Formats: sequence, structure tokens, C-alpha cells
Amino acid sequence: MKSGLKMSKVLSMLIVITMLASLVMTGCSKSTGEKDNSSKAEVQQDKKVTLTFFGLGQLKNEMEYFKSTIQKFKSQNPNVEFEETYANDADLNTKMNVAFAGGSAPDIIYTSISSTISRAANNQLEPLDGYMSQWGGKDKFLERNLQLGTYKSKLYAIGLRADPRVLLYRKDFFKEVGLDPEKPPKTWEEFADYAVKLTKKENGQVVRGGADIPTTNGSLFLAPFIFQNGGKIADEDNDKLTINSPEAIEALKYVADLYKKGVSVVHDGNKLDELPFVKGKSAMSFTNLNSYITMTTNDPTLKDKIGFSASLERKSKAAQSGLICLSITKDSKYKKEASNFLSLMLSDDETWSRYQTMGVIPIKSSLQDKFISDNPKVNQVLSDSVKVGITRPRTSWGAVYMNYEKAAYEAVVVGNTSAEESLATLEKNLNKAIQK
Amino acid sequence: MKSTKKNKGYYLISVIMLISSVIMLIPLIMAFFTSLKPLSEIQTNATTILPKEWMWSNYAEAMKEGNWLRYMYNTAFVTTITVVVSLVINSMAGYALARIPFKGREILFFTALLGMMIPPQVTMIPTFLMLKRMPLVGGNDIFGMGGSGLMNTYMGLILPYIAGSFGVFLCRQFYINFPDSLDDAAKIDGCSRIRAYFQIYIPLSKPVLATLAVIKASGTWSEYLWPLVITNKDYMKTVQIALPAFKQETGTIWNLLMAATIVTCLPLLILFIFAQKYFIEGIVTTGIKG
Repeated sequence: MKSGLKMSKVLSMLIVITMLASLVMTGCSKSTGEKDNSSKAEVQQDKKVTLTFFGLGQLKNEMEYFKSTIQKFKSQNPNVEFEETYANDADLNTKMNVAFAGGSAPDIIYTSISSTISRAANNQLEPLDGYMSQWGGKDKFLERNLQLGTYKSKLYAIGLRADPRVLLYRKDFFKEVGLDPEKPPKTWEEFADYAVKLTKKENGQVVRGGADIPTTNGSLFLAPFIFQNGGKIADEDNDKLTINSPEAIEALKYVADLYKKGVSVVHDGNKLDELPFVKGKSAMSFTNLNSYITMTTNDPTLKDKIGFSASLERKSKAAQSGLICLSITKDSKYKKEASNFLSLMLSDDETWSRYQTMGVIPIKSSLQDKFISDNPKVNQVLSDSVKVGITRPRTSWGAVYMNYEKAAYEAVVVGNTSAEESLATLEKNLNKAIQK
Repeated sequence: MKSTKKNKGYYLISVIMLISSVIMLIPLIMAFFTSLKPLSEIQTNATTILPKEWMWSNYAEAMKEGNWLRYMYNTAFVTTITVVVSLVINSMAGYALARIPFKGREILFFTALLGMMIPPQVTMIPTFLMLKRMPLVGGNDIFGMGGSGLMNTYMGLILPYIAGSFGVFLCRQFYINFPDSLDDAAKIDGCSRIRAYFQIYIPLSKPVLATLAVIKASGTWSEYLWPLVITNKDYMKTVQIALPAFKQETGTIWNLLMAATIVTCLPLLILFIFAQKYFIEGIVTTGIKG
């Protein structure tokens, strides 16, 4: 009995020691294991390679496009297998954060420019300058596209899908108030003047806004006005905030004054599918092509009633432009294969195919004329907007900037704080957060 | 006079509770009616409660967006195994910590409590690393390298859930209230510890086991972050991970999202209806809403 008890105690101890030892081995094996694997990868060029791809999965047709292109690539490269993961922006960031922290970063990522640049700032991405010759050279791509994917003078991301915000306006509402429907506003003064004329009020309440001026989450609405006025949000080369400038103050004052004239219906600037313009409750809006598609799908009679115009101009042109980019991660063991895949994705044929199947604006300078001639009314505006596109600050603090700017915007537009005070507070608070 | 005053108070409280209940139910009711509307009706400016056009087909449409049968199966499987295994090991551990005096018992219990105080987001990456580098599984070698370990597996989903110490704490608190004389009587009758556990304590454990089962089931079914991190494959998704598919870049497909959400909530709703007494007991006992 006693010896039996002693045996079971010894057995239990042995099991515990074995389990602890295996945990210690997995924990301590990181550096040796990974070095061994990378050297093996160089030798195994002709052997099976598995490329891991993390991509945005917020558009069904885009996911299907990627799947079919990956199949095409696999048929051209039989030794390459793919492991694909698709998720929405927030979930993809979570998965990537865990993957990078856990040493299992994907080889290729396809995600928003703000996420890409923050990863470049964290030294997680491979500089792509050396691969450009394989992809046709820098002059084949829109200059602005390459600029946006650059961080501290190195190219880390190639924009694959640009999503510029253009000025959509209701021609029928223009005619109602005696404005020429073929002459949309081009300057700040015209925009403000048109907004007031197009506003309809009943009993002091706005029943139709002249323009969509966000009540909350107005950062992406305000940013182009700052750039149009010759200002900048950040000195990206030096990773510094520069929003507290006379140009930005003037831009913020302009937007706030226009809002306070009561030209807009209350709405959230981030919810493009719920804009008053999309619901037929305003006459002008800076929004993306999807809004036009949503409106004309719900009501096909609107096709001839909606006009397109590029950005306003003051000292320069600028348009808010979302950008989804391809990058290769620094820790990828199969950079050659990843580059080959990007080469396929960035080819003229695939770029044009994306336009034809999904309406994606071609990011190659070589295809601009063909793109514009396919639908001059709309595509000229889109092409012009992409060429002057701006994104969120491409800095190490770009991800946190939006929260601070949101507060600064609302304090002036909806509150009673002056633009000078609000931007000074934004600068102080954000700099404090960056230093932490 | 006294009974009239009591009745008035009773009716007043009942009315207040009824109004509060209706207010609490409003989001669920709105979700249900939204699930039956066409998208164009939801996107108009006018807010309506009842649908103008009752589209029951939205449920079928929602279930076509992805392999929902598989997602339901995954979630049900993971939840069932988690609940069953948790009941066994948590009750055993709780019994040991409450009834068996041994050296280091209090330190062990305190260590388990410490685990409860750390948010899961903090341990997420180390847990991910451990499961990804589990030796000799998922193509890994003896050092845990070269494969994917327990990623995209049911074990990867289940292990962290059953490793939690909340159930141990709950069971320990339950078993500690039994009188010592019960153990003494069992010992006198020649019962070993394990036999006492199975033949005396388990039959008396229905309340705590039911409470633990209900809390574990609702927690596991609703879990989002861990399945998001540990699974990459569509066939391993759970229902919570599948829901964001309706939130697309062009906009949220509200009617289908609400339909899928109602379908996702149904099992928990049914569980609550049949076991609400234990839900409430769990909240009262632990102060944790789960």
C-alpha cells in the first residue's frame, strides 16, 4: 500500500517535470529554431513554399478576386502554397499584432495605409525600393501612390486600391435653387455660398442640408481643407505634428463657421453609408464612389441626377483618399516568392482586370488614359482625386492622432472653443501622448 | 389597512419592474424587427419600428453568407466540451482546495485567484505562443517549431477556456461551506477522498454545477477575441467571428446582421429561459455577469 502510494507520487512528479520541461523547451527554442529555419529556406528554393497572406476581407468581390488570383499564381508557381486569412480592419490588426508578437508574422499583408505605416514605423516591414525593377520601375506607378506608401524615405507599401472622396452633388437640387448643375463649386467661397443657397429649412429645422458637414468624426472631412490651404498635419520625415499652424486654424474656422450657418443635417462623418446625402437629405457631400453606387442601386433614377467633381482648390488641391496597400513583412522567409506574387498583382493586366471586375481605380500611370477614356464623366474626377490624395498622418503616432483630432474638431464645430485654442490643446495633448 | 398598503407597494414595484423590463427588451425587439426589414427601409431617414415589408427570407439570406452550419457546429462543440471538462476538473480542484488539507493549499488557491485578476488580453500573446509552439502537434517538432501547433484546432479553442480558474474559485467557495463532520463520517465509513467526492459531494453539487455550466456556456458561446486570434481558417470560425462578415466596407448589411445575430443568440436565450435561476445564482454568488 505504502509502496504503491510512493510510486504514484513519483509518477506524478515525473509527469509534472516532463510538462514543465516541454514548456521550457518551447519557450527557449525561439532564436535557434528561427535562425535554422531561415537558413533552410535559402536552400529550399525549389521545395514547397507556403506563403502566408493576411488581407482585408471587407468586400466580398475583392476576397473572391484575391482567391482567384492566388490560384493563378499557384498554377504559375507549383511549388508555392498559400495560407490566406481575411478579416475586417480592426480584426485584421488584432490578428497581425498577435502574429508579429508571436513570431509568426505573415509574408504578405494587404491592409489600410495607416496600419501599414505604423508597422513600418515598428520595423515590421521590408523596404520595397529594391523590388521596383522587378515590378516595372517607379515611373510605372502614380507618383502620389508611391509617396503615400513611403515612410522616412523608404517605400514600404504599394497602394492597390485607392478610395478617394470626391464631391457628389444633386443636379436636381442645383436646378431648384437656380444654380447651374454643370458647374459645381471649385473654391471654398463657392462651396460655402452654394451650401447656404441649397439649404432648406422648415420651422428653423434643416430638412435638407446644403452640404454634409460632419457633427462628429470630422477629421477626414477637415484634413483636405487644411492641405488645400497650404497646411500640413505632420512633418512625416521627422515624425512631428504640425497641425497647429495658421493654415489649419483658418481651415478649421471655415468649416466651423459653415456648420454654424446651419447648412448641414446632424451626422457622423465616419458612417458614409448613413450620410444625409445618401439618404437624400442634402445637396452636396464629399464621399466615395460607394455612396453613388448605393444611391443608384436603391433608386436608379438618381443616375442622371448626381454630379461628380474633384476637390476644391485654394492654395493647392487635396482630396481625402483611403488606400489599401500590399507589403512584404521583414521577417518573411520567402521574400522572393512574395515579390513574385506582388509582381503578378501589380502587372498591367491584373490592374486592369481589377478595374473591370471590381471598379478599382488603376494605380499605374501607364493605365490612366485608358481608365479616363472608359468613363470620362466619373473617371476623370477619380483619377484627379487619386493624384492629389491625402491619407491619415503617415507617422509612428498616426493611429492615435484621430482620437485627439476628433475632440479638437468637435470642440470648435459644435462647441464654443476657438480654433486656435482647440488646435493648441490638440498639439499639447498629442505630444504628451507621443512622449509617453 | 396594512394589507392595502402592502398591495399598493407591490403593484407599484411591479409596474416599475415591468417598465424596466420592457426598456431592457427594446434593443432585442428592435433587432428582431430590423432583421425583417429590407435594407432600403433601414437606410431611409424615417425611423420605423414595424417593417413595412416583412422579409422572413432575410434569415435564409443571412445563413447563406458563409458556412453557418459549420460555424454553429464549431461553437456548439467547443462550448459543450468546455462545459463538460470544466465541470469535472473545476469541481475536483474546488473539492481538493476546500476539503483536503495539504501543504501549500492556500498558496495554490491564491495563485489561482491571481490568474482571475489578470485581464485575458494580457495573457493572450503568451497563450498564443504556447499553443502555437506546442511540441509534436500541428507539424511542430520536439522544440515546437516548423508547424502551426494548435492553431486552427478545437484543442486550441478549448484549452484556454478550461484552464481558467473562475470555476475552481466557484466550486471551492461552494464546498467550503460543508461541515467537517461530513468528511469525518465518510472517513469512519472507510470512504477514500475520491469516493467521498463522487458519492457524497457530487450528488450535493447540483446548484454549483448548474451555475458553473450556465456561466461557462454563455461565456464560451459569446467569446470573440480568442477565436479571432487562434483561428485563420473559415472552417474553424465560431458564430461570433462570423458575424462581422456583414459589416462591409460599402456599409453594414443591417438586416442580415440582425438576422444572424438573432440566430446566434437563440441558443443562449433558450438556455437562459430554462436555467435563469442558475444565471442569477451565479451573478449573486460571484458578482460576475460573465
